Amino acid sequence: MSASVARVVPFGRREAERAPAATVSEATEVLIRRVRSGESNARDALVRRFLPLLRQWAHGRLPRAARDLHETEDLVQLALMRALRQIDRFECEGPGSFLAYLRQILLNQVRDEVRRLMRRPESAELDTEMADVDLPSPVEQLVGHERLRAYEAALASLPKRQQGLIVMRLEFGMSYPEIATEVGSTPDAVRVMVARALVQLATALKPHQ
Amino acid sequence: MTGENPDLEKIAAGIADDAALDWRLLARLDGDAADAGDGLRELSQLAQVFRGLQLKPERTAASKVQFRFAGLDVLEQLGRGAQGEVWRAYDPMLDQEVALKLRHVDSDTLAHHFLAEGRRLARLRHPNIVSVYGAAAQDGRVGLWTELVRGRSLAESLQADGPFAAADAVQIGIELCRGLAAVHRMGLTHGDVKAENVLRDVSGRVVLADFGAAREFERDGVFDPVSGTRQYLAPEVLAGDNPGPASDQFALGVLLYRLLTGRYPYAADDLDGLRQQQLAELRTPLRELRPDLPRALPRAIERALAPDPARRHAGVLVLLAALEAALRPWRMQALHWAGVAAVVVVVAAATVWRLLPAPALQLDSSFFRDDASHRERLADGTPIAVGDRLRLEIAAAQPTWVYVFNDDGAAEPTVLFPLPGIAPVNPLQPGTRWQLPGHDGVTALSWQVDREALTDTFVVIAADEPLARVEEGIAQWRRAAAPDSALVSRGVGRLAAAQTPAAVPGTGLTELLRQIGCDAARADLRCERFVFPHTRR
Repeated sequence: MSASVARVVPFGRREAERAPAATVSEATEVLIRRVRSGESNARDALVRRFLPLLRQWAHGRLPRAARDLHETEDLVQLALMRALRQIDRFECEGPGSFLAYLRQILLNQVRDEVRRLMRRPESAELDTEMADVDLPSPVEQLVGHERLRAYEAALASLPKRQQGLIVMRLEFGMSYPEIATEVGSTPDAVRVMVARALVQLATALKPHQ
Repeated sequence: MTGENPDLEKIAAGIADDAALDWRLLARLDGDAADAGDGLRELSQLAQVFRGLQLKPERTAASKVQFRFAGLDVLEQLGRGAQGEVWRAYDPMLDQEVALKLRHVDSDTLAHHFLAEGRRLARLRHPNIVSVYGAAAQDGRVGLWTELVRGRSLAESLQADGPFAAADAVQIGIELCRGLAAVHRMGLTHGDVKAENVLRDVSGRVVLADFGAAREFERDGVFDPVSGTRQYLAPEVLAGDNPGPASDQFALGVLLYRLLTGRYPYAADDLDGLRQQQLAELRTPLRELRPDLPRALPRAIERALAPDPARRHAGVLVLLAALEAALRPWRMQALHWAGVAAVVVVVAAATVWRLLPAPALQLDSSFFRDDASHRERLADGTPIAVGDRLRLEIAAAQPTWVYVFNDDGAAEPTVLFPLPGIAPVNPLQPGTRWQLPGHDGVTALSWQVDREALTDTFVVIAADEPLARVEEGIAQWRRAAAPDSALVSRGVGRLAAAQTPAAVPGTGLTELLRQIGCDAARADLRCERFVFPHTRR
C-alpha cells in the first residue's frame, strides 16, 4: 500500500498541462505572509500558483451561458484579486485552508454571476430546454442540483483544514506531492489525511435516495 | 467510531487514489459504517465527475470528428442495432464525452414523441440510473445522448465469473431498487431490466441503462429470439398489458435469480410456454440451487416473481427493505397489531416498571438508533419508524447475563439476545460497552424495525447469574418461532404484519417475568421495559 503513493498519477491532467502549483517550493503560508508585508513578487507567485487551478475549477462550475472564455477568465481573476485584497482578513486555519478560502470566494462569485445572467433577458433563449432547471453548470448537469447541494452542505460542515484537503485532491485534482508541499507534510501522510477527511465527509453526507 | 474504521479508510483512500471502488469491502459494512459507506459510494461518483471535468479529452489528435450532431462532435461508433447506432461523442458544452444514440425516423410524430420522452428522462438524476443529457432531431434522425458509462454489464460478469455471492447480489438488488424507485416516482417505467442492461462502472456504481427512448432500438415489440429479453417479461406483459412498476419488479426478480444461479427461473422456448410456466410457478426453488443463501433472501426474491402483480412486494422500496433484512436475519418483529383485539394506544412515554439497581448489580443500558449521519440515544418513548436500526449499549460493573426480547403482546416474544452464532455471549464481561445484538464475526449487526406497528416494546433482563428459567423459555420460543417473518405487503404500499403463526402453548413473557421475580425488588436482578411509539416516515 505504502508504495502506491509514488505511483499515483496526478489524475485529471496530463503532465504537459499541469498547473505549475508546485513549481514554487515556498509554502503558501509563507507567500501569504510575504504578500501581507507588501512584497509584489510574492503576490505574483501566489497568482501564478492558483490561477490555473481556479480557472479549470470554474470551468465546471459556471453555467454554459456564462462559459465564454473571457468571462470565465475575468471571473477567476476577479476572485483571486478580491482574495488578495482581503488577505489581511484571511485567517489561516491550518495549511491548505487558503485554497478552500479561494474556492469559497470563487463559488460566491459564480453564484452572483448566475443571478446576473438570469436577470439578462436573452438568457432565456440560450437554452429553452433547460428553462426549468435555472442555468445549470456542467457539474450540476452531471450530478444533479440536489446532489451537488448535499455535497456542498456536507463539505461546509467539516473543519476548514479537511475541506482544503478534499477540495485540493478531488476538485482541483492536485497530486499528493503537490498537496504535501501546500500543507507542509509528506505525500504518504497526505494520503491518509485525505482518506480520513473523506470518511468524515461521507458520514456528514445524507444518503441519496 | 466510523472515523476509526480501517475498512472505511481503505475505501476512502481508494477514492482519493482514483482507484476502482472496493465494492466487496463496501458490501461488508454494517451499522454506522454502512451509512458512511453509502456516503463514500456517493463521493466516489462525485469524484469521478470532478475528474471528468479536469480531464481534457484528447480529441484533436487521437479521435477525429466523424460528423456533428446537435452541437456534439461525434467521434467513434460503439455499436449498431437494426434501427440505430451508438456513438462516442464529445459535448463541448459539458466538456465531457457522452454516448449518443441515433436512429432514423420517418415520421414527425415519432420524432416528437422521442424528443418529449428524452426531455422527461433528462430531468431524472439518480446515481443508479444512466443520466440522459439531451435529445434532438436533425436531418431525419433523432438522437439522445447520455453519460458514457465505462464498465461491464452484469451479463458479462456472470459469463466471466459465474454466479454472484449473496452479499454481492443483494447489494446490486438494493441499488437497482433505489434507481427504479426514482424512475417509478416520476411516473415512468423502465421496461427492460436485464443483466445486459445493468452496468457496473469502474467506481463500483451499479447503473441501470437503456430505458424509454434511451433504449437500444432493435426491438420495438419484436422479440429477438437470442437476446433473452423475454425471460424477464412478467406474465401480465406477455398477456398484453403495458409494463408498469410491478413488471419492473418482476424483471428485477428474474435478474437476481439469474445472478445467484446463472440461469433463468423460466426458460420455455416460446412465449406461451413461458407464460404457462410463470403462472404455474414451475421453477426450481432458489433455495435448492443455492442452499447457502440466508433463508429470507429466496423468499424476498421469489415474492417479486409472483405471477399475480398484486402478490408481489408493494413496491421496489419494499423489496429493498426485504433484501436488506435478508442479510440481517436477526431483526426484531414489531407488534402484530392486526391480531390484537384491544389495541392500546400508547400516548406518552410509558415506562411500565423499572426497578432501580441495588448495589449488587450495576448496569448502564440504553438503546441507540444508528442514523445516516449519527447515533442517537433513544430515551424511553422516543418515536421510531420502519427501517430504523437499533442497538442496545450495555456496560456492567460485574459479569452479567443479559436477555433481550421484543414483546409484541403475543404468547411468544421474539428473542433478540442472546442469538446463536452471534458474539458476544453471556455473561457480558465488565470493562466494555457492549453493542447488542453484536456481530457475526465479520459485521456488526443491529435490529431493524421492519414492520409498522403502534409501538415496539423491548424487555431487557439482566442478572449476575444465568437465569435458568429464562433460558428454558428462550429454547422453547426458538423452537416455536416460525422462521417465516418476511414482510408481507397488502398491495397498497403499506406494510402489515404477517399472520401470527399458530402459537405453541407455553409460558408467555409476562408470566416468565413474574416467575423470575421482576415484580419483587431483587438486588441481583434488573428488569427494564422500553416502549417506543412508531411514527410514519
